[in-house]
Amino acid sequence: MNRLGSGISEELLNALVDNEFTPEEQAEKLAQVRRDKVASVELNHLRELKESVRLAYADPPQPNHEPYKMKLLHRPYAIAVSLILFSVGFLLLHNLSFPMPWSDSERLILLDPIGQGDRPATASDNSMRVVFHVQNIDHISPGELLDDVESLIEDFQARGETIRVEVVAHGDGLGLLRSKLSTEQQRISQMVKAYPTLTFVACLNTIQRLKVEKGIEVLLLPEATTTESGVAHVVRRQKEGWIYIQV
Amino acid sequence: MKITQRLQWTLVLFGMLLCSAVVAESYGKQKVVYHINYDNPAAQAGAMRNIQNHINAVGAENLDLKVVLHGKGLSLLIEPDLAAETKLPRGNATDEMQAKISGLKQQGVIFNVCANTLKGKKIDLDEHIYDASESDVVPSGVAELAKLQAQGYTYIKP
Repeated sequence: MNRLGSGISEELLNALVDNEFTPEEQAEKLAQVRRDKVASVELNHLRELKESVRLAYADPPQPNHEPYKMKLLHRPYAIAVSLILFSVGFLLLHNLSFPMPWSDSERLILLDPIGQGDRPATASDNSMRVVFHVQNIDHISPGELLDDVESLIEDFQARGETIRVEVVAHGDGLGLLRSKLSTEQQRISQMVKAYPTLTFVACLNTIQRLKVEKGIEVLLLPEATTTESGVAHVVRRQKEGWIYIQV
Repeated sequence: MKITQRLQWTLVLFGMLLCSAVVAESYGKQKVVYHINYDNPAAQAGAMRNIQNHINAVGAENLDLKVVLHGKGLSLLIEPDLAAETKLPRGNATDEMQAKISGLKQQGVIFNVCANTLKGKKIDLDEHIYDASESDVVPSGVAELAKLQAQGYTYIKP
C-alpha cells in the first residue's frame, strides 16, 4: 500500500474524494489531511483528476441491452409510425415560424449550472463571453481587478456589442466576495446593477475548506452566486467556448 | 565513385531532409498569447525562459507569439532606475533582461503594452519603456487578451 508522509493512505484520500464517509467523518478526516501539506496537495490533485474525468465523460456510452425482438405482425405498423413521425419532424424543421420548444436565451440558462434564474443570459449567441479566474490577488488590488472588468465591459458596450462576464473566485481570491473581508462591497453591488450580464461566482469547496480547517463561517456578498468547484467551473466555461483570463 | 554508391548517398541525404522536415512540422503552426500582469522579477524571468523554450520546441517560423503586458506587468520593460519617475513600484528591465527581450524580439516575439496602464501609472512610452514604439501599444491589455483568444490564439499565463 502506498503511504504518504504522515500515515495517511491513498485509500483514505480516494474515499474522501468519492464522499464515502458520513458528513462528520468526512469533516474530521478532511481536517486531518489538511494538516499535512503533501496529503493536502495530493487530495486537491485527486479532486481535479476526478473532475476532469467527469467532464471528459459528460455523456458516457450506455451499456448494451439485449436487442428488442419485434413481432413480425407489428413491423408494418412500426414502419408506418416512423414514416409519420419523420415527416412531422421534417415539416417542423422546415417551417421555422413554428415556435421551437426553447429560445436561444433559454437554452443558455439550461447550460448554466449555477442558479441564475433571476439573471438571465441576455447575451446573444455571437456575443463575447469572458471568464475571469481569481485565485490569488497578491499582485493586483481588488480595485484594479474590478477596473479591468469594468473597462472590458465598457469597451464592448461603447461599440454596441454585448459581452457576458463571470468573475470566479476561489482559494485566496475568495476574499473578494466575503462580506467581512471585501473592500469593494459597494462597487461590486453597483457594477452588478449597472451591468446585467456580469456575475460574481464563489467556490463552495473553498468555503467548505475554510469551515473545516479554520472554523470560519463564510458570509458572501448578496451579489455572489456559487458553484461547487471554482476550478471545474472555469474548465467547463472554456469547454463551452468562453474566453479565459487568469487574474 | 560508382553510380550505385552515388545513388545510395542521394537516398540517405534525401531521407535526412525528410526527417528534419517532419521534426520541424511536428507541432504545426501556433498562435499564442502570453499574459503578464505581475512584477515579481523571478516570475518574469521564468516567463521569458518559457517563451524561449516554446520557440525552441516549435520553431520561430511556426510561431505567432505575443506577450500582453498590463498593470504591474509593464515593469518588465522599465529600467530599475526609471521606475521612480512612474507610479509603478518597480522596474525589472536590467541589462540582462533587456538582452533576453531583444533576443526574443529578433525571433519574432511581439511585446504589447496597455495604453490604460501607461496613462494610469504615468508611464511615458518613449522615456520609460525599453525599445517600444507606438505600434506596440494596445488600447486595453484585457480587451486585447479577449480579442486575440477570439482570433484563435492560445492563452498562457506563466
